[in-house]
Amino acid sequence: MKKIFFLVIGLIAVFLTGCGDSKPIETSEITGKEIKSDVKAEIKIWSWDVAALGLKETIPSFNKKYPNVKVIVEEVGSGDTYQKLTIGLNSNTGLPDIMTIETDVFIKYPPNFPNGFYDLTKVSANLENDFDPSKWQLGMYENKLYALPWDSAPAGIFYRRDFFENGGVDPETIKTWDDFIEAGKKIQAANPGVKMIPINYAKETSIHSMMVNSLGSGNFNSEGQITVADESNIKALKMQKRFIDEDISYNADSWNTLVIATKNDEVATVLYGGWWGGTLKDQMPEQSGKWGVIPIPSFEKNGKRVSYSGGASLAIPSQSKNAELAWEFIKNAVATKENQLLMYKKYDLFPSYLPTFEDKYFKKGDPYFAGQKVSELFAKMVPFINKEYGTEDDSEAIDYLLDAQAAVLTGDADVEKVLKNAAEAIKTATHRSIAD
Amino acid sequence: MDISMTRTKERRSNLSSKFKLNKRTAPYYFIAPAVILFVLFTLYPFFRTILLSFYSYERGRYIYSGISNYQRLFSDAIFFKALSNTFTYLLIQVPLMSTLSLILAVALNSKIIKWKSQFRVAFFLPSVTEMIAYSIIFSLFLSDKGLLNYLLSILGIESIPWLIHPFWAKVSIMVALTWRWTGYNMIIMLAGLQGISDTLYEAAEIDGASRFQQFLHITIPQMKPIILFSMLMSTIGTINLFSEPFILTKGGPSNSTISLGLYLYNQGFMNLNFGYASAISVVLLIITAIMSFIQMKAGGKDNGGL
Repeated sequence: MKKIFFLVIGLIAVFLTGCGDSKPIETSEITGKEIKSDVKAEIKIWSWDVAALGLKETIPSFNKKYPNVKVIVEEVGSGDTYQKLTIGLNSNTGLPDIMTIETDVFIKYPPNFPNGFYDLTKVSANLENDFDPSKWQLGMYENKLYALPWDSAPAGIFYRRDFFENGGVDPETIKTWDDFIEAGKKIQAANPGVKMIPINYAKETSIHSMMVNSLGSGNFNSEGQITVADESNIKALKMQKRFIDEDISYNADSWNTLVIATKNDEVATVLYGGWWGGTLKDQMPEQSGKWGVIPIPSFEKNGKRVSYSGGASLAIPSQSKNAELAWEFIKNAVATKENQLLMYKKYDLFPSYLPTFEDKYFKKGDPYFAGQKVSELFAKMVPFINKEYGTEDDSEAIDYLLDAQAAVLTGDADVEKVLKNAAEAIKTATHRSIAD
Repeated sequence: MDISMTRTKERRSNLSSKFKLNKRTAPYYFIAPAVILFVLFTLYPFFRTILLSFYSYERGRYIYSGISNYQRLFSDAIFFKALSNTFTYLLIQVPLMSTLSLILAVALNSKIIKWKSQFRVAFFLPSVTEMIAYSIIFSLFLSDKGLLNYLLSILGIESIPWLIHPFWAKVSIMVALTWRWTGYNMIIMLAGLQGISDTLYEAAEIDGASRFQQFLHITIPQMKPIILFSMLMSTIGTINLFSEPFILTKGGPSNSTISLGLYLYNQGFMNLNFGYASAISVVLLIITAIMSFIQMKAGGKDNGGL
């Protein structure tokens, strides 16, 4: 019995010594060397929903150049992706050649797994000016690029033309959030049962983030200091609080609630990224012709009216055996006008590759939006989206920010105080300093 | 005597014979698979977790950081929120559910009720339902535009913010938990009830005890070890609670429904703070051990306790 006991203890000791000695491995780099067109290989890709369908559309054009490469797109849900990614990076096995990752989420991986992804800096050097600047920044860590932007998500106010008309409000006169609130009161008075704007008070900070980005700030600044308690964040949260005080907002506690409320004609506007148009067309085809889009209002007269919400990037895990080919695939899919346009036309994945916007498709009116040139409106915004400086502690910062937001919007907490507390909490958790 | 001596000699002379399959070694071979799995998937992770809680994960490697994870833990407002939520669930939901399952068990054990086995199946069914599936159904029921609020609106009652309001969100989690686990505990109690000898009730009846008196003075004392076991399992389950808050509320609003298990997951898998998550799990382990000890102690020696 004693022997077995010692055997077990010994075994555990052997296992435990394996702890804490992960050796540093040099980051692998994509070199962009010439690949023979008759190369035989297989590339595996993880993606989800319409994103997966979009990537599949680009396979034929890739196979024209490399006919013997088999591309497999596996459908992995966005939630599953991150769990599998974390486990795959930890165990150094099981990841595909290309991964779709939401741009905002991606930023925490390179710092935590320094050799987890291929360095794309060298091969992408001449592409930077052609991409959405806000997204490019979020794929970078310590001046190296690890993920190439795929779809952009310029933000806009989607509004119901019929409700605005009933209230006698001309959407083009809405320039600032103050105008928006005044319009909201008129519209709600003329359309009983309708609320001006749905906000997820306690589970999402997307509206807050859009407002803060339009003001040129975020959770962190370019030095990685905490900015959640800065002037922009205070302004944004106070504005959301005003929506509640003026009774023009509705608590959409989940994605489903938001979709149902929209479908039931209970909201007059929705503030989201351009991809919301895809959801509208898909879920509410009967509301065709009733929607329009205006840019996000500004806080001051003549302020910047550009922001974003969402969008994904593509990265190559360093476990990939066919990394050079994977890069060729990514380049073909997102850094060509033809494929970006193809994915936009079919699946509303808005291009982050700026040359795409030269196409005449972006001059066309959209019947769903009563003939409004929505594509052009969004395309004009993309180059001007403010840069966002993410850090590996973003998800933690968002946790505390969400806490603060919920305390203000569902309770009666003081905006400045809760944001200050949030900043302090993030400081304790991440050992970062708070920006002045 | 002689034979055993030669056997000993043989064993010493030939080491490989030690591992030969015979009557002496067979039991070890039989338990080997279980022991190996236990070591690999329980003991090793257990010790590794304790060790990891003294490390912090930075830039792709584990750096020894002493007790800094624990220091952070004891100044972390969300951790204490999770702790207080867990105890709220524990103090309200577990006794309620245990009482309910005991009452159901007694009812389904009585001779008056018909369709007994059908009822038993119906009550047990929730606990074999896939956790994710039922949580999603509940979230559809309870969301602001969900079925429950729709039914309330038909009755002319104003909709209740089931998953939005801190108070109602907690209530929703407890309702979901009760729905899922009452049947399971009921089956355990039912097994216990059937172990009580009929003679006790007969004697009590002859002495003129009422049904309620019988329940109070025969059923409950006889059931004590079973109730203890069921409450212990529920307590451990509640302390490690994860799925319900994860799917129904994501721990919100304002962390009002976050459980220690969910917080651990958020820190480990969402924020990639593996060391800190390990520290939380060590604290979780200590709390579970203390709670179990208290309950066992309270149960008394005769009733399967300490």
